[in-house]
Amino acid sequence: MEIIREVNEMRNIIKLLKQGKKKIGFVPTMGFFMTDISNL
Amino acid sequence: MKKAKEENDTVVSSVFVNPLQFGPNEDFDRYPRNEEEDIRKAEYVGVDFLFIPPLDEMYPQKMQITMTINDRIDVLCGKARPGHFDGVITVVTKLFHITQPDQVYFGMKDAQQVAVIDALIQNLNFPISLIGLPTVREEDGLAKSSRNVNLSKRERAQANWLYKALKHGHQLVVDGEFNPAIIIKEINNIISNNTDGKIDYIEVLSYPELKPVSDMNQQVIIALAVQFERARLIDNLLLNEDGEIIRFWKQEESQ
Repeated sequence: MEIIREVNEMRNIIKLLKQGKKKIGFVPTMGFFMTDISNL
Repeated sequence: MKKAKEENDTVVSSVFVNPLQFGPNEDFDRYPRNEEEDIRKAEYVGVDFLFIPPLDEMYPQKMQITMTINDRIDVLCGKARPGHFDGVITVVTKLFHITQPDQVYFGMKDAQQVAVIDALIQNLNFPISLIGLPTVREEDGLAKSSRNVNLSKRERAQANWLYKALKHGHQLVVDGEFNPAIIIKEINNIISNNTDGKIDYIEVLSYPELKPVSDMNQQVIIALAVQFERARLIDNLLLNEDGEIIRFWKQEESQ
């Protein structure tokens, strides 16, 4: 797993994933250490 | 998270506590954070990229554009949190632009939030499919929440009555009761008779429109909030037009 802290870095990775036609699933959270999936 | 892994080539997750969705008297500074544990857990569940931006990455300057949602907010928890969902749709829009997902996953525990995101995706034509994931529960049925730790021992023992009451409401529908007022009354009685909690609301609404309904023969949500001494708990059940429980909710295709 790669940890990304900068918006531009995230965007560059997404650009590469899109070029590779990867299907992207996204799970936004406010932290999920308490549960399997926390709400925003 | 497992579902996100199954349905996609890559799973991106983000951890960001968004100040825009906290009201002036809400607990932004006290919201529980544990980055180390988040990273450990994200790795364990198979996240490929974990986006953890600091505040000044997401908001390098004061926002010059504000977003406002006008519908689906004056019911359930939205009634008591003016501006909350404006903050949610703003940060989610930013995150959608940054991560450009094909599918996005939210927990159905906050079903109003999922309904709001549904409106966001439909209204602004995001090419994204929205999936609502089933609420994760403790063994006795209590919905998992960071707030459960604030329950006293006595309250914790009572708290599973919220889910039991919802299940009873579902059983009434299965048995042919189609009057939402009767279902609400029965759920109210169960919670009042078995807990010390003060009922904030019990509502039956169409889903995802969140409008009052006069009968149960459509997709509806039965949702409730109960205030215990130091914890306010929410829970819900989503039923289809045949009265069956919907575990995974999927957004209809954009018109």
